[in-house]
Amino acid sequence: MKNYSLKTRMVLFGLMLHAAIWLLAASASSYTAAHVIFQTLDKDLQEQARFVRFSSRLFQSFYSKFDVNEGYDPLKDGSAISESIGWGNVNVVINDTKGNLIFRSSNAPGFDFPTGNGFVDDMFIQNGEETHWRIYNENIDGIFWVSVGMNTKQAKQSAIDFGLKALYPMILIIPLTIIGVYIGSKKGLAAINKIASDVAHRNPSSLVAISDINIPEEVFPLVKSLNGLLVRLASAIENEHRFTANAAHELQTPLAAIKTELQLCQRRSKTSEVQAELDRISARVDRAVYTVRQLLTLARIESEDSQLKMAVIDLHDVVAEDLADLAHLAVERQVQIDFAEHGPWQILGNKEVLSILIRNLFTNAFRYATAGGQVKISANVLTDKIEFYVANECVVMDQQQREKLTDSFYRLPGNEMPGAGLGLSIVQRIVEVHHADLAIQPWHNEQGIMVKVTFPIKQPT
Amino acid sequence: MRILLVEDDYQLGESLVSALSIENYAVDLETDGAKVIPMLNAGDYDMMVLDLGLPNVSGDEILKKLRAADDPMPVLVLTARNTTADMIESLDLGADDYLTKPFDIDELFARLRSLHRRSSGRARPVLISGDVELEPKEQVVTKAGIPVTLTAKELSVLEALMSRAGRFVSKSRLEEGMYTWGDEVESNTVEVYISRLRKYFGSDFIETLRSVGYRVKKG
Repeated sequence: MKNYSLKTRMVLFGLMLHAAIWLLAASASSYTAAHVIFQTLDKDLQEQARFVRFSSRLFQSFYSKFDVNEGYDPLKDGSAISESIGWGNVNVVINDTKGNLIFRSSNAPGFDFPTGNGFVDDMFIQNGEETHWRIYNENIDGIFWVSVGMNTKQAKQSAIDFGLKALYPMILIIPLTIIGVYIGSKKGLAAINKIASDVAHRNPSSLVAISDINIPEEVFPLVKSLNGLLVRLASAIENEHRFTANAAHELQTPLAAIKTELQLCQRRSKTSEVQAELDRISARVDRAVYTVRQLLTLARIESEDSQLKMAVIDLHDVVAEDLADLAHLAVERQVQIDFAEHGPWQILGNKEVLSILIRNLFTNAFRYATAGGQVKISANVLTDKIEFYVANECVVMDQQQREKLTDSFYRLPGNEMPGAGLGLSIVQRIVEVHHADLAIQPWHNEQGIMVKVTFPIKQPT
Repeated sequence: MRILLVEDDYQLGESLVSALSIENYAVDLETDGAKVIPMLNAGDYDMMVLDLGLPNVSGDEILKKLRAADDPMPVLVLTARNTTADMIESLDLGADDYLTKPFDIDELFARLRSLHRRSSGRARPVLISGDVELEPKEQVVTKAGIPVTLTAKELSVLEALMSRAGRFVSKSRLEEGMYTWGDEVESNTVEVYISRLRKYFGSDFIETLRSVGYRVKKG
């Protein structure tokens, strides 16, 4: 089944149900009407026959008692009979018992000679058209047969008209049904829609249970199982964070021990070969230390992101302070800093966490900028967003490499710099927490990269 | 100098004992948090190096008990927890100083020296950059041993730079240190004071990084 909405399904179902009910009702009323009409018709035909019987007997007694109208044969006078019997659509045929036709009204087809009293249905072709007739035959006093017939076309038509009349209310009922079902289902589904929008508008890390206040009974199991899933999900994520944090935490102490021993060796070592060896080990240990610190930072942001306190801050101030703090890294590598001194860049954010983001971007830019190259730090202030970016000249990267930069532990081939490949993963997480966007694009005709973070500006309400 | 080193990781403890021995400290290593207070009461220690993540009785608990009993023992805390909040918490509980693991032993020695100086009532160490020395507590500045007289604002700029020697300090941070509430800030004031300091200590004493900040050489 196609993925129709519940509302559509309910409206369609309601319509089908109504259509079925109304068709049934129309057929039933047509059938009943036909039944009643035909009963009436039969009564009429019998009535006519009775009338013929009555008038024939009346005439007989007249003719036997009085000698009136000598030479007048009423049977020859069709109009007289037609006047006395037969309404517009009732036709009379009178035969004697031998089958000789005595009288036939003008519209009547030649009815078959009766085989007995009672009703007969028959079909005749008249003017090249099929006509159906209901005929009542009666033998009058053993002298003649009267056959009273009626074309049933009209009667049938009446019955159908009657049934159609029963369908008329549908024309009014259908739109009412649609509106009714629509409103009803909308009201009924409001709870589900509310749950859906509640889930849809959450930030990715919010696993708080869905409120089960004011929800219909039918939706309750859904909410309950969703909440169950959220709880399991939250605890799984929590476990993962705790594991990362604990693992990183547990690594701190052995690393501290290694570092201490190493520094003791460096103090005691006399030869330059050993010194150089120890320096290399020391650099490796420092990298491990750095990785563990970054992992701890990541785990901390992951576990705190739902409780981070946000405030309106001037990003420019934070950037300026962090830049001053790390600029010596750029100076060491003769990297030119081009910093836009104009502020303010007001956004909604958490200063401490944003500082981690900014520092990671700066560390990368200063570390990987081509020696003597340029690092540009600026922002585009637009009406609804602020695009903060750090761009630096560096080795040429293809798009695939640029896309991989935010992967955890990804390092460019041949990268000899200290680092864990976690910097941009951390940046990515902080960006998510701030409902911002992260884009990494080529800069300076592919001779560098630009990391751009787009922060939404909360319009003052 | 006797130090009580409290560290539950025996390997790290051993390494630290040998490191501190090189610096001529007499060190006792204790791995069990429950034994720390009795040891402090029994032994004659000058300082304590305390790891926070201890079994039985945590480092935080020990600090609380120590300060509740008004014990002025200088305590340097070692911890693997590295957030600002953790640091503030430990300092509020009564730690004198703080190092996060893994640390540099030279930094550990430096901090122990300053801790000892402070606890024995002597002044904080002198800030040094090239031939310029600044003694913060007494606010005495010398260049090549000759005293230089500075105004309060000149001093605050110099101290801000020298306390972060080797790193750049932003203009706004220098401004913050110069003004008490109610003073009027003029935009070029920092530049004025920087040029004055250059007159006193030489034009290359302070390095400028355009639109970033200023710095003095380390050491």
